Amino acid sequence: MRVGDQGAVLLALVFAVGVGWGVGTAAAQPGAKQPEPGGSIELDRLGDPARLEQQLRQLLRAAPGVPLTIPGSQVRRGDFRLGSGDTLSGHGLVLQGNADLAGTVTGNLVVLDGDLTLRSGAVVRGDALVLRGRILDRGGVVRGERRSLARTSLPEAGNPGATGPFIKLAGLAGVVLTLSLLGFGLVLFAKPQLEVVSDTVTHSLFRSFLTGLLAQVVAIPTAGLLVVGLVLSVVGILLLPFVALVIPLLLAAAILIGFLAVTHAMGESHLRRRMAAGALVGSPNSYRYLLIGLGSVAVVWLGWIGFGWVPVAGALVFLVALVTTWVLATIGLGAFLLSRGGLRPAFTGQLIPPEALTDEYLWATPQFGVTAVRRPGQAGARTREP
Amino acid sequence: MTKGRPTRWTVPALLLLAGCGQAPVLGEFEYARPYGGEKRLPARIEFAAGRIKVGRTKAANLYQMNLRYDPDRFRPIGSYDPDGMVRLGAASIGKGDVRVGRSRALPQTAHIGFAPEPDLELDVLLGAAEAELDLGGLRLSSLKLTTGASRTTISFTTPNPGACQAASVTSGAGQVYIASAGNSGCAEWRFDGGVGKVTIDLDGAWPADARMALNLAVGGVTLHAPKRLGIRVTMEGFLAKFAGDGFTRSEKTYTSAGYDAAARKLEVEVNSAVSGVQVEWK
Repeated sequence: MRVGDQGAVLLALVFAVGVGWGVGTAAAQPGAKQPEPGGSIELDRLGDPARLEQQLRQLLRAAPGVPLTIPGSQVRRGDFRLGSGDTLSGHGLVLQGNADLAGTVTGNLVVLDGDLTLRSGAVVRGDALVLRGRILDRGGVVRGERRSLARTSLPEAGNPGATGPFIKLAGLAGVVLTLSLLGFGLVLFAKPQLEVVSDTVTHSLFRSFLTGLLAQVVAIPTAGLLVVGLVLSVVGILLLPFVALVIPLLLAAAILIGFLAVTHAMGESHLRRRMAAGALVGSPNSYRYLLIGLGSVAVVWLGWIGFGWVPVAGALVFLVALVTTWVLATIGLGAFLLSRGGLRPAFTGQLIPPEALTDEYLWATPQFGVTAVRRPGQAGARTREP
Repeated sequence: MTKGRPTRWTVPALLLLAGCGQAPVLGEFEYARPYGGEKRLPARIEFAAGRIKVGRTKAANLYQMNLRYDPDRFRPIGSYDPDGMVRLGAASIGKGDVRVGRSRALPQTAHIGFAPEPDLELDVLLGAAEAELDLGGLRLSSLKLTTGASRTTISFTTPNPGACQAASVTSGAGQVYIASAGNSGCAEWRFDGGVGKVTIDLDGAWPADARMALNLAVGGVTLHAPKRLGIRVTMEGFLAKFAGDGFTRSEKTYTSAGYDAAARKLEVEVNSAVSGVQVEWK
């Protein structure tokens, strides 16, 4: 700021203080009024500390480093000390410093960006207000109201902002690990069924999604009807606890297996595309398909963990991750239902029945224009009619 | 192209680091007024979320409040009207975003105290809060408590030196526990409950006979009663049921043994849709 500008600001402040002094004298009330676009400063009433703080900060920004005076009052920048036996007439305003009182303030006292220490013998006859600081009572007296507004950072242990991403990351790792173990179990004990559900996903994706969606819509009414039916049958009431337990479990199992089948399908598609492109991928197996698929889903949630804190965008990332997971789970549920839990390969795209791919079928079934081969070791045997 | 990678990953990495460095800030608000011989004190407390404790002041204050609040979502309330009414607590500033889990909520707390000298007319409005109101020793002249989804404990550890006309508790979906209700000295109690559980310990001094009206939708009320107290319960409502030993039934009225001879009597009227009242003798 240039010297001329500083002078103009100072002149404006002196004028403003002069007006405030005039009003204060006329009303026989000590105080300061600063004509500002946002309103005037009132030290007589401290009932709206947020507004007063805003006004004081505006004043400090408008006149940085310029000494302020309020007629009949004391304005201090930096630390202020009032000794025992000393008296401060009118209101006191301490800016950007601590106030240490052992004497008497006859009016209100306001401290901005500092603490107020009330030592033994200190008396504030009016109200005491500390903005962004604390009142430290060492035996002093405030005859009016005492207010203090401060801000404090939470300790590290309870700081969710700092630990949040790591906790979420650990949670995601736990979920992925759990799903991986469940998936490995499925591959180990029910690989054909898992593959059927997975193939249903691959070959009937849209149909699976619609089926899953429909299942979600009708699941609760169906369960409700079942419960009502059991209640109406009177005897069926005994089965209610069992049904109430089994239906949610079945639904959860269907969603889980379906979701794992979707990840299996994702991994398989990815690897097959890479192999088709000539990449060397090692051993393509179901375990690997599952890991790749689960990793792909985890990446979506990693985006939320990394950038979930960003306003608006974070919520959008969360929404994307949630919707993606829901869509996958819906497809999986639909595929599970279409394939009857992996028992019915009607929607797997297997147009040729498995037995058609066996040597027995090929030998036994004549193809148009192709002479059937002779079965080894059966000289003179004729081709059978289908 | 390895040369492009640092540029590609710099911005996301910086954003990630910035996210890790966020430190939530709590606002602290202290507000007190020294006791100046006031005869009555109407007080209204609003507290939207967090933990709140209400009791007696430690220093010679008419009232005092120490509040820790989330400045991004709440603002402190602290005012004393010229007519002598004090308003305390924390109100929402209407900037709530999606904070689903409790782990993300800041530990908002309020400690509020009142002087034991003036007649206290207490009006408390709680949101999703956990509240402990120890009103023992205060000159409570009336109590009105409205809670949302909260867990509230009101205790009267020592008898009320004043005269309480009425106390009313309206609970949305929460738990309410009242300890030593006899010390409150309130001649009339009224409970309006939505879905929740109400437990009332009827111990205490009982300076006079009292009436209690329980209007409940779904939930249960348990009364822990001392044997010296005579209790008569009138049940009104659909599917409301009563359980208690030593009661004589006459249509909708259940009368405890020795009711007529009891020094203090409590009339309980229950209006309930689907809930039950259970009396357990101490």
